[in-house]
Amino acid sequence: MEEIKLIVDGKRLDGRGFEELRPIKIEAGVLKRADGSCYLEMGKNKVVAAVYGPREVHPKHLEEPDRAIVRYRYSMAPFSVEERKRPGPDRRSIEISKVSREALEPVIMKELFPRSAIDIFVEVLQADAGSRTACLNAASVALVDAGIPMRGMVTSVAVAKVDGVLVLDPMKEEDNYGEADIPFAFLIRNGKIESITLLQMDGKVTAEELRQALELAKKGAMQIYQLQRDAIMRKYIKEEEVVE
Amino acid sequence: MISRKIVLPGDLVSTNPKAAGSGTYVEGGKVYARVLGLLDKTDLGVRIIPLKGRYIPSIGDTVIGIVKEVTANGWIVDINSPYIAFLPLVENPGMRPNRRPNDVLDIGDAIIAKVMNIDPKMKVTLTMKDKLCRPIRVGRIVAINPTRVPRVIGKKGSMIKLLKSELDVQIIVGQNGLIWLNGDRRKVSIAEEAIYIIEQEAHTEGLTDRITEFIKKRKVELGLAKPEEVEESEKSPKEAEEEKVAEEREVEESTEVEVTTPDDGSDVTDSKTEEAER
Repeated sequence: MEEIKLIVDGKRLDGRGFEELRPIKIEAGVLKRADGSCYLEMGKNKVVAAVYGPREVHPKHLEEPDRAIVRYRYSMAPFSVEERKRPGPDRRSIEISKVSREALEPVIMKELFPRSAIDIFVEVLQADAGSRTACLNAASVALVDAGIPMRGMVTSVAVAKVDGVLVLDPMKEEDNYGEADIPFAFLIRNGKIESITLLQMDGKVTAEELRQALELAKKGAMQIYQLQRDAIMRKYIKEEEVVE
Repeated sequence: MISRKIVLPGDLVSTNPKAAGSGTYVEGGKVYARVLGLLDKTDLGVRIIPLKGRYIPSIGDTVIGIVKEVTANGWIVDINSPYIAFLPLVENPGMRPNRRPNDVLDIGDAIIAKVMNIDPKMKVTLTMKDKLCRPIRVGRIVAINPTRVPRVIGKKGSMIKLLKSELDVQIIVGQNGLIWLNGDRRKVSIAEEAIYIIEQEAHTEGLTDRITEFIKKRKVELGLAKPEEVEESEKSPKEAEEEKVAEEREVEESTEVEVTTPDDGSDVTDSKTEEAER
């Protein structure tokens, strides 16, 4: 098989630099019936997130007497990929749902709502690489939009190793033919990265490269965090109140 | 003129942990916001006025609920919150020893009740032993975002007084975002529209003035008042005082209404219950 060059003349296939994000578009509060919602585009990813709750838990046996339960469903639409995807949960989306839920759980103040559920549904309408990071970013905005108490915000971005170079926010080709794909999610509070809530890795990198990847991801996450904030502010700016 | 800033979860709002108020949390000696809302920073402390969120019951709240289930010892009531409420038989004065619970209140009936008790597991108990409380048989229920309820009540009940005096309708505001309206059908419709405007424009300046204007305009449009009459019956400007955040839960004061039978019989058949949108 012919070798695929993913980096040409120091630029990536789509013309981006190594530390450059794909274009991102975020809109908060797009769904009327959900308590909070968000539509997000990250490169060719198009995802929509809906948050319901806190609400009653069904089925009842899942309920926790001292805190809320968080349920996260990552789901890909059948038309989101080139070859039709069988609808419904599969092994991959179940895993992504689990790790994404665990990324959000430490941020949500579950102890404030005993015996209730916070449901997060994220639907991938069009998939490119890094759809789990796009979904987490959308879910985070939707949670804020729903008015759910949180310690901060979650921002997620991936780093990949292609042709021996670390690149930020990989796209489809880099993910498929690259050497490694490392999605990160961070808890950001008051404009500072407080902790890592998600770290996965597909492929191989050295320990030193992982350290570099983390620094690169932090830079990208701060840019996305600002866009997430702007999206919420844009929706609520008219609410800014003038007193006296 | 100061504008209240919007804060997002995790924003640093104060470095004095003693100042932490509602909607904030303290970690490492610093105060952070925990919800999306407006920052209210005073000498007394900082708090966040939430912009979104579900109704969380607290003891003493007046709520409007819908009966979801009838049991042998009481009623299970949906109060538009993550938690369902229970109204025991003994807490309903309408209950007589020889009557069965479902003859007194049946599934789908709306009631005005008070939150009597909440246990640590968030089991909510209601009571109807209060002059405000009653089953709702007539009128209309309007659903709004529960975080906007203080706006509909207004500062020291100013907004609700305005609606009542201008439109001559009965209004009871449930803290859970459901509002009961009763009176002349057209006037109730105006009140309903006014409430939606308040909900939409909750955080803008001079809202009371604009609502007064709106009500007058609608009254003329619906032929309830002639334009010149409106000029005469203009309310004293103190009613239209500038809008500010209603700090206190003013339901008590704002909901005193005479218990009268509706003068317009058509209202009885028209009574409808709008389910909570959210």
